[in-house]
Amino acid sequence: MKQMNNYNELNADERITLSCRRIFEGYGYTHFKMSKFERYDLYAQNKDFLLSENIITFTDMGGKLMALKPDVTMSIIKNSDYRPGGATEKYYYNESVYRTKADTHSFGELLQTGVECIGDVGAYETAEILMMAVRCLGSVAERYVLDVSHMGVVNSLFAMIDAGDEEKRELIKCIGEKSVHGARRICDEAGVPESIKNAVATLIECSGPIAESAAILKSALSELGTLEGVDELCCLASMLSASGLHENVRLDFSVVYDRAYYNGIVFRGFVEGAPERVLSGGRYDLLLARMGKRGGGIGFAVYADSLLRLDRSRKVPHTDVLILYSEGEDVGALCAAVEGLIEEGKTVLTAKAVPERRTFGKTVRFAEGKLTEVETK
Amino acid sequence: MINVALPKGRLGEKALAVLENAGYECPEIHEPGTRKLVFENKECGIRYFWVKPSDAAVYVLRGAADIGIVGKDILLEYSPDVYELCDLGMGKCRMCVAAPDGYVDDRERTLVVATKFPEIAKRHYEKKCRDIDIVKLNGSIELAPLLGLSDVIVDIVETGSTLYANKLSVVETIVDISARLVANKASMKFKAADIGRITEAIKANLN
Repeated sequence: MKQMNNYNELNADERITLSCRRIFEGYGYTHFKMSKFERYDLYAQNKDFLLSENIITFTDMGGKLMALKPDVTMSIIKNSDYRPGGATEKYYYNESVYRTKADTHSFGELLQTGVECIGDVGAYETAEILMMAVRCLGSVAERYVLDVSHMGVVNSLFAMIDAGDEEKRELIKCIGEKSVHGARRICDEAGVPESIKNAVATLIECSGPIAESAAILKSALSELGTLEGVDELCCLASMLSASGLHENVRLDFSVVYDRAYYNGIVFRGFVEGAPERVLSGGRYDLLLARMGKRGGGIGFAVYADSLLRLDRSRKVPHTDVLILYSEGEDVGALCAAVEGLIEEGKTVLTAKAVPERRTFGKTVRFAEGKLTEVETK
Repeated sequence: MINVALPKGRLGEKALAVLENAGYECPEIHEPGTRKLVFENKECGIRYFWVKPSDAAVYVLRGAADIGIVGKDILLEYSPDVYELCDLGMGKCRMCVAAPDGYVDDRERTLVVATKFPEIAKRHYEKKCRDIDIVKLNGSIELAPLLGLSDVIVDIVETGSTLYANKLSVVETIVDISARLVANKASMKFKAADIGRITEAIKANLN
């Protein structure tokens, strides 16, 4: 029988997961399969880490409150048994998650594929994650951008700002929105010194190819002393250049995540034609610590549902042979005829009437034990 | 080609004037009696379309528009994941709490708040640890406290004349509002130069 081995015969979502899977396995990551459910407690403690705080819950037969998985990372962390000195765990997954989207306010099943690296996460592991992210984006679109920023830079700058948590949250929002005017207003109201205010504006405006922008950032922020993360960005830029994967990687501090969970490199991927990010990830040592685990963690997810929107073609299902038959025909002979065609590698649909909205290579009628080709309109 | 979502009404017309003064003209948008929905000037690489003001952010968020003019009230209420590139300083007004003249807040009771902006109202009162009951309305908000439907309203106040005419007054200002230039995040990655040029031209024209 003909095997489904042609990449182009796969559905768009199958192509995305297959191409990402090849990349992940190429870097030695192994598949992590998990249940669709988790104990609700797992998420209750770290709701801010989730992209949506709405979770579908139900009570299982034993009375435990369960949740349909809204996130994959926490399940993998929960199962991590990394000990310092041991081997770093490297997993990939293809899973559905269940959550609300901010602009629709309704639950959806979203297909996600991604990787998690938990353990001794150093410069190489960080670069490896970014290399995989670049390759994933490149495998699904010709034009793509990976925006990278560093929560360490943001956090060390924020440590110099004497303002309340509410103001800092607002300020983070302004950085994410590239709103220099908004950030200036908050800094003015909080009495932030001019040098720090300018540094915040620099973070917002410093955007471009990673190597050049990291160098500009380093020089622009030098008067504030050594900020955590700036050197790591420069080092990362040179590692990506060495691997030849730097071209579409940009520094952009509008990628900012929750400061309670993320502490290092954070990033988001965009492809031309998709209106929102199709990939996001980052370093989440703080989440690991909150979950009582040791070591560092970094990973990313590719949002297959966002990528599916890129494929605007409406495929009409095609079958090689349509066999029309009537009631009372010899069903055994019909079965044999169908099997014969399938053995030849054909796809076959048998029906009593011509189905609509489908195409067929040829249409044949089965009558008196024989197949006869018929003309179709 | 840069797609621009303009809010229908006075604010949109003002914003269009700024864009045209900045060099992004589109003569066909001014043709009297036109029934067209989309207007473009290929030379300038710009395409305009009028949308309901509250929808402009949706067009930008979903990438149907690369940039758009959106009131800060809409941005605060719906928190769309877009870039807020500049404050246009037009369409200025305030998001306020208003109540019947002489109103005194009774903190022992749950405050009933009528509003078109439930998220803004919720966040405002959360900060004050105030228990509230929100009545979501779509228009004529001022009517609610007059008929006993609510204690106060959270609404946009421009001149205050509607409040004054209905014996209502501003109790507190939540936030100042004005129109903002917003951009789709993905568009900024692939049309950064064009969007950057438009933004700078607008800023130069505002000063």
